Formats: sequence, structure tokens, C-alpha cells
Amino acid sequence: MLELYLEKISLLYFKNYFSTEVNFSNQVNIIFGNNGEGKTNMLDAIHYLCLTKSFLNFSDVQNIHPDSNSFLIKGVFNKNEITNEIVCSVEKEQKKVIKKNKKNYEKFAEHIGQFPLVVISPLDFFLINEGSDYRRRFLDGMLSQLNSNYLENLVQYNKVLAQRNSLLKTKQNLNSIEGLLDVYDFQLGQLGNKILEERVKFLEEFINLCNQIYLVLSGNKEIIALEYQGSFASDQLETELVNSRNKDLQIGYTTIGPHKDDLKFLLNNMPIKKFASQGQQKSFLISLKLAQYSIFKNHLNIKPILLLDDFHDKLDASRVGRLIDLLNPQDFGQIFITDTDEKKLIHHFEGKSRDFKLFNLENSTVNEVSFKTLT
Amino acid sequence: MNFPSKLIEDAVNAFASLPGIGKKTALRLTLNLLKREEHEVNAFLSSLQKMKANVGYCKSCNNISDAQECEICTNKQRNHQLICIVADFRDVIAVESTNQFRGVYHVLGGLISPMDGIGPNDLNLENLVDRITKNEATEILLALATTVEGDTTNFYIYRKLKDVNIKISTIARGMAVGEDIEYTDEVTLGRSIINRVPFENTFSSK
Repeated sequence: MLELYLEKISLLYFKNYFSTEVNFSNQVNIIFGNNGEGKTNMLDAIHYLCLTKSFLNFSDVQNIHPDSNSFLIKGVFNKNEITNEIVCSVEKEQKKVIKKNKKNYEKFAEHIGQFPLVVISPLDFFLINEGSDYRRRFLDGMLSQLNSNYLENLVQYNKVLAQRNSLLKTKQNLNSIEGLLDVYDFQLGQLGNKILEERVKFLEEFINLCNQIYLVLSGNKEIIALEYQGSFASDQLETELVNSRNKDLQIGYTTIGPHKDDLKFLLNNMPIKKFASQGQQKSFLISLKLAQYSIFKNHLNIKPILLLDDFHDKLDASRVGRLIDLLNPQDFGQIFITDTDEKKLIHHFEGKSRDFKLFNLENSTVNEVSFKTLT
Repeated sequence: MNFPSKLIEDAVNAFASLPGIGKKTALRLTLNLLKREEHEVNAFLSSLQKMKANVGYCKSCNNISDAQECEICTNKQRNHQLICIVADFRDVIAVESTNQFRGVYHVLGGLISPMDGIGPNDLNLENLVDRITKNEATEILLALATTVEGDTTNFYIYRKLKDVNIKISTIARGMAVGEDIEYTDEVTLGRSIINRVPFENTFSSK
């Protein structure tokens, strides 16, 4: 198993930071401070270094400090005893630049996956509350990082789909476009069947992992389930597309295919969105993310970096305790945690033999504090 | 941009209507022509006029041609039973410069792409079957871009010809010649492995 951790980070004019440099522990880093001090922004900076963009749905320019025209994030990663310096810089009206060891990337896609990262944050509730495209994006994001063939098929599928939808929007009568629809339905059928097959295969492993993690988190009390809701039968996409032509032509877009499929989340056989408490929903989302972590770890043979934004968000004390037990050093590498209340948090780490560092955030400056001064 | 002369402004706007030419380049080209001798400018203009008036399309293959039929289609030395399908006449130039192809062409004039408003009826496909019959063609070589639009067009032609007894082939997809394995992108390398060829084929080329 390869080791991966962020040794240090420097920020220049990123969000509320003027100029900051922080040295991290290679195990647990706890960042605490009041609301609005920039705890989440620190995690977002780490997200930038690993995945080239913000996880908070901010545009790059929105992340520049109001006093500046540009920001710079520099991080030194240790990957299997080799140091890599990653720099991400954004300037207004310029293209974003990502450099690894002083060398520019031509394509950001080449960077993604080298420093894998999983983030657990209150934004995850989108997965439960919002439309099916969030859930598909989550699933496709995981599969694409593990299987470049899947990504290629997905990109091709979306291109053909866009052409078929354009054709449908011209609202010609079916006879005049039937010949071309034959071709599109054949192409979409080939690609879509493969996409479905890969999703189903992946979910088998993924669902199993989610269940195990949720059982531990809930103290063996509750059972969750994830169900794939397909819009077509496996290996039948071409035939079903042919059959839905009349309907598709009326509506003006393609109504079946992997781009319409969804994931159903259940707790004790009831839909999670309506029948689970916020704490149960949060536990469920943590299970999804930790299952993602576990899959990345097994497939990439590396322990990804884990970001836990707002640790106590919605969880009761016993679930927090079980979560910390889950995050043990055998299974996890470097972890970053943010919270408003340091006392509540470090109490869980007391007596556990783990290396960790505490950072206090105040007036946009980061100070490392010793464990003893707090206890 | 303010011009001291309406005549110059018109000329600048005419140049600026060309692709890749902005206002400043258009002004430079205009001033260059203004400084030249009158007979030079006339020769320049008449070459454009002659080009526009006389260049046409070959009636058999739709390639750019000065005559009714292009030089490739009228060449008896070429193999008229082998027809290479390309998207536009620039691809004819590209394939010709390989010196590896001695058949004839069929120029589609584009690729199927409803997003760009191009359907099968906008392409030169109507007379393809007639041409196959007339030439007693034995093979169709599809030489279209390896994009979604290229694939769609390939499949469309393939389906159109399913009742015609003819061999349909496509140009090979894979590693570029002279390329290092380590710098080849995953998709291309993956395809090259799936579509691997017997080693004898790599050195027994004609």
C-alpha cells in the first residue's frame, strides 16, 4: 500500500487568507475555530491541489481574496517517500495553471487521480435531496477514476446522445429521420449497455461496503439499501430506444438510457429522503463516502486523503465515537477534520495512540496548539 | 475603428469577413493592396473571379474540379473498383499525398451532425449506390474522422449498403507511426491492443 500525505501547504490570497503556511501531521489534523474563520476554505485549498477545483461549487475567481487579482496554493505531498510540489494558481481573466514539480499540465485530467481524495461535508446532502443527476455524477465520478474505459464510453455516449436529441428537436416526421435514428439507437445501445453493465458490477461491491459501514455506525441497529433504478432492461437499450421513438419525438429528447437512471436510497426499506432523521441521513452519506474511500484504496493501492468538514454535523455522541473508531490508522491515511468545538472533538481522541496536530484558526491565521494546553 | 475613407472601410470589412482575419489584419491587407500597381491588383482580383466562376465539382465523385470530371476519376490507370469515402476535398489531398492509394474517391461534403444542422440528405450519398454498380466496385474504404460524427456517418453508410454485395473496410485505428508507447494516450493504446494485427502484416506491406 502506497503512503500519501500532504506535508505542508502555503496559501496566498486564497479566500480569507492573506499569506499562510501550515505544516501538517501525516495522520490526523484537526482544524477548529469559530464560524467564518476559514476552516472549510483550508479544506477547499487541499481539494484544489488534489482535484484542481473547489468542492464548494465556487468558481475559481470567487475564491480570490477581495484585495487581490489572483491566488496561489502550493502544497508539498509525500507519496511513497517521494516529495511532489503541486502549485495551483488562478488569476482574473487568465487560465488556471496547475504545476507538478514546476512543470505545467497540459490537461488537468492527467493530474486527477494521482493524489486521490475523498471529502465528507454538509454539502453531501445534495445526494439525498436534489435531482438524480447528482447521484449519477457521484457514481460516474467514482467509476471514471477507476476505469478509463468507462469514462471513454460515457463521453462517447453523451456525444451521440446530444446528436440524437438535436435530431429529435428538429421535429421532423418519423419517416424522414428513421434511417438516422437507426444509427443513433444502435450506437447508444452499444455504449449504453456497456455503461449499465459496468455500473451494476461496480455497485455490487460498493453496496456491500456501504452496508457494512452503516451497520457499524448505527451500532447494528438499522439496515440500509441502495437500489439501481434503470430506465431500460440490460442489453435491451437499442430495442427500447426504437420503441420509444414516437414519445421521444413528441417530447423532443431521449427519455430512456443510462442518462435517465437513478439510485434509490432506503433505510429499513423506506426512502431515506422522507423517512430518515437528519442524523440517519448523515450516517448514510458518511457510509457512501467511506465506501468510496475503501474502493479507491483497494483499486489504486493507495490510502487517499480524507477531508471531514464540520465533524459534528448532525451526529450524536455515540455515532461520533463509532466513526472515530472506524477511522483507525490501519485503514486510513492522512485525515483533515474541521469543527467549531475543539473540546468535544479531542475528547474522542484521548487515550487513542494516534499522532495528531491541532490548529486554531483566528483572524484568518492558523496557529498550531499543543494538546496539553487544551486539556 | 474610424476610417478616413469610406472606400477603405468597405475593403477592410470585406477582408474581415474571411475566417481568421480580424479588423487589424484586414486593414494591413487593404493598405498593402492600395500601395500596389493597378495591374497587380487587377490580376489579383481576376484570379479570384476566375476561380469562383470556373471551379466546380466533379460529377462522379464530388471532388473539387476544373472540368466536369476530376483528374482522378478520368484517370484510366486508377482502380475504379476501389472507392474511398472521405468527408471533404481536403481529405482527398491528404490521402493522395500518402501515395498509398490508387483507387477513386467519393467526397461526402461533410459528416452527419444534427447539432450543426447536417443530416444525411445534405451529404453526397444519393448516387453512391449507382456509382458502385456503374464502377462494378468490389470494395468501399471508409476514411472518415474517428469522432462520434465520423462513426455515425460510417454506420449510416454501412446500413445503407447492407443489401449491396460489397466489401466495406475502414482505415486502421491505433498507434501513430514513430510514436513511443509511454506517450500514447490510454484510449489509443487500448484500441491498438484490442485491434492487434499479425506481425507479418507490419513488414509485408506493398
